Amino acid sequence: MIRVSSLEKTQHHDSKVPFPQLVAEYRRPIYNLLYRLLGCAADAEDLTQEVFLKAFCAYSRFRNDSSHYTWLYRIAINSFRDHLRKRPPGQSLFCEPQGGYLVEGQLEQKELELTVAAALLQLPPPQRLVVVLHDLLGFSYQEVGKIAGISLGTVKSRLYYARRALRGILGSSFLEGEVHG
Amino acid sequence: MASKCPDAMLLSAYIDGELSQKRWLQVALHLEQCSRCREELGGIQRVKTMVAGLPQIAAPSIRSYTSPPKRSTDKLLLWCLAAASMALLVIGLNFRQPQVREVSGEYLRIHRQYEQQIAQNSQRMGEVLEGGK
Repeated sequence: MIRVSSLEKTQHHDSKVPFPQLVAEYRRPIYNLLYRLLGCAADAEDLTQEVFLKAFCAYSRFRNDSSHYTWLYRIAINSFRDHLRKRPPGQSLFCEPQGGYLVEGQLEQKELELTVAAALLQLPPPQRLVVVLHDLLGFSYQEVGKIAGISLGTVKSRLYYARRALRGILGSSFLEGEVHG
Repeated sequence: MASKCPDAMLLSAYIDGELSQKRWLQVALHLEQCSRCREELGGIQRVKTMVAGLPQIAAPSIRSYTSPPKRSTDKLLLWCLAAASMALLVIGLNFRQPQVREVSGEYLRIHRQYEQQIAQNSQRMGEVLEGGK
């Protein structure tokens, strides 16, 4: 699980963090969020760039009444939603896997990762968003609700339906084999 | 005798530690007696573990650029604009050429302004990030 940064946890309610520090702290989790939502490294990179440019332009107007992470993740999620709206219908999300050559023994692990990542991309975007925010980035239900702009009940149900769908996509034999085998 | 099986959504929230103490205790007591729910719980837990196990990817650096990045969606937009321009051109050749030229000129001016604005903001961001190092 990708744990959110120290800055996110301290939240800096009283002081405004310098923009370069904000970039340094959030570049990685924002990119990982977008990469898992889009399944495409090039698009995730472009969108991450766009998120920080939007944040940079709006940072002078940012007030500390919401925390930095909620604000930045919201920009990222809105950019993701815009991206989906503009995407040509029928275009596959999964464009190319990350990483270089693999040595023996890594192949199985990589295959497993790709299978899980591809299964995530088969989920409807609202479910995918909730499962990535909670299970991968480690946000609580309340934090997911704030970031995604949905109620606690919706977080709970989307997460449940996402996990049920993932079980169906991955298949019980795959899940059993990977855990025990 | 085992109590009534809880909703599977509750089991999912139980795994995440997102239930009230009272509800958590009810589910925990039920799980001790019900193998079917334990199995369901195991399935949910395995999916959660697999997603959580996806590795972290190193993020690229944030850079400044002189023109907005071109994505596949931008290409589609450009094709739509090209098609619309062609249609306008055909109409303009037959009917009111000066007006069409005026509208096209205005569109191009706004588009160039937008691109310039993005480039300027990006350059400013680059300078701020460089200064922050």
